[in-house]
Amino acid sequence: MEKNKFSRRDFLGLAAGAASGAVLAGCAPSEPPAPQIVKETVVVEVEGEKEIVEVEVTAAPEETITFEWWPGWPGAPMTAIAKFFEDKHPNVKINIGQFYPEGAQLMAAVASGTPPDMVADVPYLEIIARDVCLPLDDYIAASDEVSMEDGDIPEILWKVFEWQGQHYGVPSVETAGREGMGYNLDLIEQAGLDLENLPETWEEVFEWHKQITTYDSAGNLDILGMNPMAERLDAASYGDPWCLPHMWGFNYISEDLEYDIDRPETVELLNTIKMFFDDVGPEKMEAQQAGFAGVARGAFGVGKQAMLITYHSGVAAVWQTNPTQTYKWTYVPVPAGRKGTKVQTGGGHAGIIMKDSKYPDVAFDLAVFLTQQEACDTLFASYGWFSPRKSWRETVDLGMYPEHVQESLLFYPDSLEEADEVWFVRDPIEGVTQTEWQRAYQGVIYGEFTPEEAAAQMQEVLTQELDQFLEDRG
Amino acid sequence: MLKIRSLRRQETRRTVRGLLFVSPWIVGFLLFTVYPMLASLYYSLTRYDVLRPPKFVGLANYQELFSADDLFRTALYNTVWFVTVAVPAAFVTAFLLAVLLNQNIRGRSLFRTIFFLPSITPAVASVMVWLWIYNTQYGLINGVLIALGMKVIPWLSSPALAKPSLAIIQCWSQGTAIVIFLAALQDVPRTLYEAALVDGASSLQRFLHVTIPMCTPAMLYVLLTGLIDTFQSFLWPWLLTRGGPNNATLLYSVYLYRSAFEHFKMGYASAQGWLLFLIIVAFAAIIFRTSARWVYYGGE
Repeated sequence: MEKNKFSRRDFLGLAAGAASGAVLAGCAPSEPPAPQIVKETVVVEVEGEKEIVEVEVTAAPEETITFEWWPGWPGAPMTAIAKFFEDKHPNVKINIGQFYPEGAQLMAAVASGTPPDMVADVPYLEIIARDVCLPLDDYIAASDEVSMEDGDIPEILWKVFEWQGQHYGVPSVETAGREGMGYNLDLIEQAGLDLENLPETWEEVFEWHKQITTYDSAGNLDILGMNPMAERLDAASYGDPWCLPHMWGFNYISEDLEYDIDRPETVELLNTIKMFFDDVGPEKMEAQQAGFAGVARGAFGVGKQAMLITYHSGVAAVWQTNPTQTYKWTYVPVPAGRKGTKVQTGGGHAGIIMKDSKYPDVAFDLAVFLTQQEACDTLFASYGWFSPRKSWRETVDLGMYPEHVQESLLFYPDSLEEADEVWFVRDPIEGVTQTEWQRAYQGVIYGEFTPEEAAAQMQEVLTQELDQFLEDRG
Repeated sequence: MLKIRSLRRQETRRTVRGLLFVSPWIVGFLLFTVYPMLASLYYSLTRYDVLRPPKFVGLANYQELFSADDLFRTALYNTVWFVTVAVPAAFVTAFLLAVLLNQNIRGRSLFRTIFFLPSITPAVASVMVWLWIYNTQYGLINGVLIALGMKVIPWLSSPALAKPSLAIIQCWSQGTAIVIFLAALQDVPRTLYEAALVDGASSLQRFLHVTIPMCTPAMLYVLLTGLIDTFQSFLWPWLLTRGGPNNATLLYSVYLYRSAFEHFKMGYASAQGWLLFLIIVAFAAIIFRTSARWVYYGGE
């Protein structure tokens, strides 16, 4: 039989060879850019006499560095800030890798040896306590732009990013007081309640809640007084420490890293939460929250909920979502026995520099840039977020927001100075705390555990986990 | 002798050429399947948070799973419940739909396309659609109920309804199984139906005694793959409920993900992964062992 001169097999072999060649060619290093020729004046000595001559030399190529930044939200302002920084640093190109970095992505990047240079909106203490972040004390001490001593950035905010005596973050984005109680004044007025006497205790809030909450003819929830677990109080990680204990006057973890959860105050706060859920029904409460998920501040943001404990970022966000209604933010409620006590928690976000960053100097410059005029003006104009710097407040144009919004915007940073108690939390296993807190309060509201059981369980599990973590640290 | 050597050389050349062609797959399999499996087996014997080197602890992770972790038991219970309900429900739904789509009706191709679409729709897009369908304020179903003056159904907000709601989604996304059943239905010899008709069998009897037995090999495949996929369900519970409310939809894979990436316990999560592998193998073995009793292969 005559063999085909060019068979199918030959064709496949040729095609595979061509494809491999193309791949290898693509992997070849690109040609370096052509050298630049520039003119320079030099002094030369000719027969004992000095002469100034112009010569052509090859310019040393300027190194452009690509800096990997995972800034955390929000996207558009951070992209703008990156551009401003690049304009000031022509040899720096910022590559924004992730806007909402999750633990999984960061872990994968670190494990693969390609971590970002700087990251934000992560479980800060979890990664700081695992020794993958660069301590910044030397940088801060040498800096003319930021200081821990001058009070321009409140001391409490520096403490939030401190671990075992070293500081790992320059407080920057959305750092102010971490929680405030928001009121929809229109719904409150509609319910016939006194706007001049906002509730100060949880018991008073509950009374208002009962008067405000309404249902339609089928029994579906229409207007809700308050869902205590919407937003802030549900959180325990990612820059938002578990803050309910602070309202009851204690911290759930000491500076010596000992949990103090199994105590009467925890039982009392769980009972307080349960009170609201028993009144409405946990399924109706959760259903309403889920129904408005994706909207800024959920049911509160669209005028279906009258009271909400939320973040600094809530003030402008709610006004932008629902400009026709009037809102006010003030201190969170406390139990009746502590009536009159103004409580606040320090928290928020900072640019954390990874230990393996190739450009720590640039990273620190960017971390500081985030506290300065351009960056802070951008974030304030977009989202109403205040700079951590008090000096910036003197320059800010509050007039871009209506008057009733301005007062609430100022509440968050001012509360750090004016509150009777300002707390901060250092919890190196805040991810587990988040899970156990949600298990505890959800178990209580759905009747799976009693508050006593929930508190004891949370104490036991977290203590075991922390012991294991500390044992592994050595 | 020379001929034999020459044949052997040709054979060797052919083998080498064949291996070269298959080598990309082999390399990929070794790098992306075998190596990660062996690595995770090792990590399951360590405490490992990915950010620092692993610390060997032997079987401590496995011990903790069985003795100290209530949430793990909850996740396991939820997953077994979900598999027990969702797999048969999806299976029956797919088969019945395939039977309907096998009828000679006008627009059959269009209907087949419509029922297959969920399988090719990107998962996240599907999640957005189902979030809207199940939404208690303005969702497709509850919007109608509100308009009719009825109570809304808290699909994803009720611990009692959340898992069944996920099972419904599972039934909706059975496009691939429908296609497999459709192929099996079309493969049933006409002569068997004719013979049954001659013997006086009713349509139900033909369905039960001809159609179903002839489709049992496809059923075995769909059952097995459905079981494996459902045990590993992650995307729907993660995106729709994050394991809530009150851990009602905390499925095995959700808890595994949480352990690995939220609790920084990759070693512990690896142990969970291997345990899940063994559980799936056990269930698959049971199905295979029992299949001889109910699977009919046409050649027999």
